[in-house]
Amino acid sequence: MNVSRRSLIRGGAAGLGLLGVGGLAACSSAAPGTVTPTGGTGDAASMVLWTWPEGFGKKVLEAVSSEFPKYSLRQDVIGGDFKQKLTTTFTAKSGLPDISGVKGEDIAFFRNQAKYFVDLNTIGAEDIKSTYLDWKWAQATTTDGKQLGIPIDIGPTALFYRFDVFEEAGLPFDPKELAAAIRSWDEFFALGQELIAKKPGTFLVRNTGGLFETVWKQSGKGFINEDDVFIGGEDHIREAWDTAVKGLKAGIVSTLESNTADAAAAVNEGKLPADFGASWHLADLIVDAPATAGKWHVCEHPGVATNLGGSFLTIPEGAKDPAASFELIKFILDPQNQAYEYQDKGNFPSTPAAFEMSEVAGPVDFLGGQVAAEVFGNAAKTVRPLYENANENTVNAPFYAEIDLVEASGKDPNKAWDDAVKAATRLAKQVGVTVK
Amino acid sequence: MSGHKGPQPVDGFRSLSTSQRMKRSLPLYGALSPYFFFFLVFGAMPMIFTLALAFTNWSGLGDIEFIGFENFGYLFSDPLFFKSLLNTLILWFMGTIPTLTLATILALMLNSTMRFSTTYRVIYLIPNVTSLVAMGILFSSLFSSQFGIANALINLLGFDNIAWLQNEWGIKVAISALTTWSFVGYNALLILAGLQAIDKGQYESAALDGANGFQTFFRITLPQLRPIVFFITLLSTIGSLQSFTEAQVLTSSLSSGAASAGGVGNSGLTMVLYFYSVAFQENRYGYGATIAWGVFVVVMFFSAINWIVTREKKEKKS
Repeated sequence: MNVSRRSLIRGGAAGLGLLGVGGLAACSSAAPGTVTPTGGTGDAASMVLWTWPEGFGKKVLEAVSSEFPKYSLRQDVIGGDFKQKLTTTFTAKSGLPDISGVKGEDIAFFRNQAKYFVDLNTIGAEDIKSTYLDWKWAQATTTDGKQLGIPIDIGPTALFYRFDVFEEAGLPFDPKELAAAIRSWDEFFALGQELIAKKPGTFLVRNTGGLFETVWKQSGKGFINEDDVFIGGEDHIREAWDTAVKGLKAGIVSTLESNTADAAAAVNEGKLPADFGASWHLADLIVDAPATAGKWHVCEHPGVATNLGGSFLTIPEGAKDPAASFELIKFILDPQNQAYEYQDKGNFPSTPAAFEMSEVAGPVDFLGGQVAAEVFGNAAKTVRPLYENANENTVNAPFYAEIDLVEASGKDPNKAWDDAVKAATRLAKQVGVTVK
Repeated sequence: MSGHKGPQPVDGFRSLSTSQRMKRSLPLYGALSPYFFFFLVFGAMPMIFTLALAFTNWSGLGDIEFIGFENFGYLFSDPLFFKSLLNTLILWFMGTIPTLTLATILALMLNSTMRFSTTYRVIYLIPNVTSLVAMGILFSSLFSSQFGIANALINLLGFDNIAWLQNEWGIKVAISALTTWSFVGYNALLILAGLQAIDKGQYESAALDGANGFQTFFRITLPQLRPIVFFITLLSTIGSLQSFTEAQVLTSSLSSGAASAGGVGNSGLTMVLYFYSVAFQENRYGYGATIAWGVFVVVMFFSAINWIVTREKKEKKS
């Protein structure tokens, strides 16, 4: 009895812990208040939208209430682990919202549970499909062609860098020149070595795991393919592994973990004058290193861009009026409102039409007045569609664990690779993925 | 003594009819029921459900697939589970020994303090009532590789910086430092209570016999503290075997799945953190439940050892 009561208390503490951590990690730029009721007359149909702490900005919510006086939209901010709470509500079969957000990293999981969502193709999603980027749209399409969500934003990656530090080190510092100088990873590593030679203790890359992630995503294939076969031991991952190890061996990796005090301090002091990131990473930089405002630029990183994050709006099955929900989603996620959201919190639009709008195409002060949307817009067009299986993270975790060991304790990379493949194969078998 | 079978009921309870008995007992059961209600809903039912889940394959949503003992077979051959068990035991050792030692020293100091003793007691209890998550975040700064206080101390001693949280033993040191920090004050108060129960006359006799401070401590104080030390060990064993928050907060930043949880080399991966990662990060509720039952068995095992050890002590005394 004691045991179970204790574990209950522990569980509660864990839950609170998550809330705390989630609250801290939740993107820094954040967030309007908790509940944002928008105006609406007494007889307006009330609609509930579930979202996470960043939520939708005031401007969008106001646009909704003036466009649709017949609806009264309430935005409920769900803190903590969003996916767990949505899952629990699905299981409870009551209290579901009319519209719910689904985070990009959770969409693969929910794609296997399509029966809990309204297939948006049955209520007109096909008509607006061409407005959105194909690869992002496809993330919310099931194998049998159901459309579960409409993309809110995307996270095409680019290289943020301190142009003042690069200039001092005698490196190319104009975004176009720099991008041209680092088309390949080898060129990028050479540039890093030049940087550290001129400025000792200044690293071009944050950590090996992050480098590995960017490179394997560039291959357009992950660790499990569309036929549910484990492909993590194949060449495309091995090449990414070797590239990451090469970067580490070149001595240009700071080995700092992301989201730590050390990393923030290094960014502040110019010891980490470059960082891969999606457009929303700008918000992290603004919070981590406010003193460096105006000294950053952004340019294409070596190879093609990858995607990090970007979420969806969905309609849970059983919502009282799916047609009305869809009408609202269509409006909330139209190019103009996405442009407002970019201005509000740096969420990059999933609709190319928004890239040209003044809210998006304007100069960004933190980036030294650069028009960042040009870079991210081009990046968005080079992102390769990447199939993500619900078990992707389970199966790729051993690779991250092993590359960490290479970085932290100098484990032999070949031995680490073999151990990673072995552990991943074991996990793949356990979760029912075919291993050939 | 003929005619008497057993002792007579003092209050005549047995002579009452069933309904009258019910009437009298009802308030008592009523007073007890809240605990049992909450235990049933939040304790027993989840436990039974977890036991059932351990035999299934379930993603947390949709159909539950029954797979028999497959998960248990996997558990016994899962190197990560045994690694997490070993980590937990090492962390228990690294957390409990300094906690006990420091708590005893603190308690002795408190015991001989004349002024402000209440203030000290309050101060020592503060770490125990502070949120572990908040302290975890604080400790991740203390142990940061470039600017942390831990490294500042190390530099003073003439050593180079250590990347605590990117080092297999560094992570364990950071986690057990956090455990020690949060429990030392509370345990010091328990030991203090034990100290104050020791008869002062014994110290006076020892002083008359010419015993020095060490002799007094090891011959008089420590033997009489034994029950309280056992009690603390039992509590900290159960607590440590289920430790989660410390490791989760200190090592969460890079983990994508269970196999990479707990920092470099999974060195901060405790059993509960492993079960949490499998169930809630990877949506493998079935196997997660199996690990949870593995944790249960381990906790039972160590509780049984504790129980046997303390029981033997009592028997020897009598």
